[in-house]
Amino acid sequence: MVGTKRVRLRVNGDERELEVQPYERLIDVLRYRLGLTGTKEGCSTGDCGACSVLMDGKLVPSCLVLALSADGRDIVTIEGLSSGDELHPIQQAFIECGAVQCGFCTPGMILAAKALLDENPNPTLEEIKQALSGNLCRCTGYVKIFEAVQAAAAKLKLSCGEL
Amino acid sequence: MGTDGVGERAFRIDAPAMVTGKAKYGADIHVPSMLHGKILRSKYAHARILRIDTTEAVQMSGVKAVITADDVRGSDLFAKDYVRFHGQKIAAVAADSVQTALEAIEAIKVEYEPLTAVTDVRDAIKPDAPCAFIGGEFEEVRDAYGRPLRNISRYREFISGDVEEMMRSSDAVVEGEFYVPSVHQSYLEPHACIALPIGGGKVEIWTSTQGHFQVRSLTARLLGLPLHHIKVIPTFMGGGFGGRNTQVYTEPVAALLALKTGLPVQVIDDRSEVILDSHPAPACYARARLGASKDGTLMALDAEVFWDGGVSGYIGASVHLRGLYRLRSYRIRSYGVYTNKPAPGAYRAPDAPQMAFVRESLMDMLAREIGIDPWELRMKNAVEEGDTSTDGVPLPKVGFKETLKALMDYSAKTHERSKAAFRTASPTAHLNGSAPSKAALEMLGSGNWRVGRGLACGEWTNYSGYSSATVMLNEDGTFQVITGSCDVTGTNTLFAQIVSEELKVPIKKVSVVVGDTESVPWHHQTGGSRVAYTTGMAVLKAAQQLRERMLQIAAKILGVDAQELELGEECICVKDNQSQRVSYIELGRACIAEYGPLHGSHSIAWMPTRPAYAVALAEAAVDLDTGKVKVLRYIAAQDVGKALNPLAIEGQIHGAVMQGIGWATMEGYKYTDDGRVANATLADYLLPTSTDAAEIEPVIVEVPNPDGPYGAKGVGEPSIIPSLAAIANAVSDAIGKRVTSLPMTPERIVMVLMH
Repeated sequence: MVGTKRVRLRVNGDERELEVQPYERLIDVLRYRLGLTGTKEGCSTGDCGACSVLMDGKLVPSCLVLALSADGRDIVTIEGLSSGDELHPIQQAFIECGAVQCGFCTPGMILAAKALLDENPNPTLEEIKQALSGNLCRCTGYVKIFEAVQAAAAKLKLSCGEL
Repeated sequence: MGTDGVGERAFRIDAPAMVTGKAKYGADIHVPSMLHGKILRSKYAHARILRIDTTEAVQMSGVKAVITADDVRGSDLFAKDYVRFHGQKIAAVAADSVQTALEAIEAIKVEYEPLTAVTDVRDAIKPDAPCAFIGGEFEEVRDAYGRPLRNISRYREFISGDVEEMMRSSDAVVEGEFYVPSVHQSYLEPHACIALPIGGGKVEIWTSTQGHFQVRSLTARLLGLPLHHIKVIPTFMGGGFGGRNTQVYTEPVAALLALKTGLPVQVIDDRSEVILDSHPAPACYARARLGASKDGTLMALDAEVFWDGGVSGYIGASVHLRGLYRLRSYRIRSYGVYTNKPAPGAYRAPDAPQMAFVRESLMDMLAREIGIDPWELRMKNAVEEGDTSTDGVPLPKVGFKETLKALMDYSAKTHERSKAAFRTASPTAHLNGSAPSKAALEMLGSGNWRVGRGLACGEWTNYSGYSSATVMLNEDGTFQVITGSCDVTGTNTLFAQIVSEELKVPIKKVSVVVGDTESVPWHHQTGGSRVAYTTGMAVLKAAQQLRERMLQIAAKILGVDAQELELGEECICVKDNQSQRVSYIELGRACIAEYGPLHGSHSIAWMPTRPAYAVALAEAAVDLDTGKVKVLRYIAAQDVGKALNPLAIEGQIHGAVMQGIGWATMEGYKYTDDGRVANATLADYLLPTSTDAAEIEPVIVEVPNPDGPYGAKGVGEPSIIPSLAAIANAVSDAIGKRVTSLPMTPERIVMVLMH
């Protein structure tokens, strides 16, 4: 029987060190060990995107990442996106565009949007569709989610301009 | 203005919790000493259970309890002598880790004697079909051709006029055989709950549900507990669409494990368990014909409808075939059929999309047959005040023709947006498989594309049911709304809007809570598009009562007559002398100190309802080489009575249409020959992704309903109803052949094209 191993993660800016089982997944560590239940589990097979987090800036389904393989990595979950009550422009856009209904896909969807906009601040509609294609939403028909990502892109550009 | 009252595009008040990950769903309540429960499920679709041996599991380190049917005698929580569908519950385990619980259910030994299973309703009714429910009660009936039918659980018929005579006097008769597959509601959040023993044999359950009072009664029945021993607290809910409506999944299992172990137990179904053991929309097989005179007057509808009823032998509401159009005669024979599948459940406008697929396909065929515009044919026969409703009673004033007209006006006005070849006689006319426009081709890419247009209509009368509401003034001048209606669609936001409207206060001063089963009076579940309607009306009446009480107390404080007062954003003041005023803060404090807490309350047992209509126009492209279907554009006109929150209504229409696109083009259960589900993961069970999204254009129609709050009608469901038919009619128009079975996968389209 393989024993536990010690891993170090940076989660939402905080250094975390913990003993993990070899079969433990990143999502288990986030939800059960660190209490970060904003990361949702919808399918456990990497097909729905609800558990998406950013690992070293890249979007990954945390249900398919073993905790051991996240050793030394930088993880951002939905809890790491806003500072206090101040929402990230993507979060704000999701609210204002009506892109949130049941809210279960929302954390993963917002992180997918962030991964896209970090890399491509000016995405076309087609690029938005592609970037979100790993994140299922069952409530919105995606229409208002696309609008929210476009609105967030515009807002982020504006705030960059002001800086 | 700017108060986010009724009619405004108010943002969801709970969205900040959702976008930050703070919203707690069924699996998000974790407590110290929590155990993890896992369920052992049948690997057969149909088998006799010979023996269940839990010895090894019970002895495993870390296992705290193992339960089977023997622990809940007289209840069907766990299978006892037979398993009747793949995935049925057989036993459950509570252990100190998920891993141990999984190992323990593996260690339970079940000896089966496999039996022949039947999972397709078309097979189940055949004379040589295996029996799907040994020991069940069956109806001895024959079909329209006099052939004996097997596995029939229920039979109903609805007859008006002389169908045979009217068919004979029709100038045109069209007919078809139709099949709609069973689909899962596919709410994104799997079933999940936690049950906590709270002493005295009582248990507290936190769960994600559309109806916590229904969870309480079903759990009580399954476990043989009195209602007051179970407290249910609803969490945020990751979608339901009817699937969490009057159903329990993990709750009774977690409750029993918690009572047995004396410890909190969390039970979470994984996606496969959700797909296997839940209550999807029933599949439906129908044979139908429709006759009309050459001017398009509908003469006769004759239909046989077979509902794939699973273990419950569910019979669907075939009456949804009638009710939209004036029919000189009809004969609807409806059958519930046992199959080796779980009991079907509610999915957004239950049974109506399947019936609309049959009816609206026939209408499209008829329009072609007699050479009339598909829109004209509907308009000519559309019901109005005084005609017979789906329920067989005279209709009050309804908005079907208004909705048809609104769709036509919008389509005509936005003709240039059509991605199809749009130089047709009318914006609703068939395109007859013409080539797509340049703009469409750019989007579609290479392929042998043809485009088509499809019109379809649907009707839905929302449910009413029991609701109550309390609106309180807090001592700091803010307001609190309390109801027992779980929020799926943004109804809590709407309640805040109603209070804002009635009391003239900004929405940010209003908070809304859904009380648990021990805090609020009994409520019907959230479903049937009833919450904005009935609970909304209760909130409206409660707010009005609170307003009257506030005015009376303000009048006492100010020493004036209540008639002289008016409400403002911050205070109540004398109409002619604004300086004579009492602020809401002062009023709130005065009430706590002197007059008693101030609130208004209202309960509703039943409200009259009336039908709402959805009319859809789909434009689809089909690649004749590969069979691929792409919905290019979708106009969805819906009569909402009064648009209480257009932002939320658009969201409901978008979502309903997208679910319809999924059902029409890709979704559906698949089975192995021995009756097991062949696509029990989201890798195999396809759902629409962002790349499948269509341009969906909602057209909101307002034909007021005098009985609804501010004139509103039920909103959440109608727009899914015409979607299957609208898309199938568009595809049939594009390929020049009728598609009568869903989903319209590339394989199916190629098959249709080949034959």
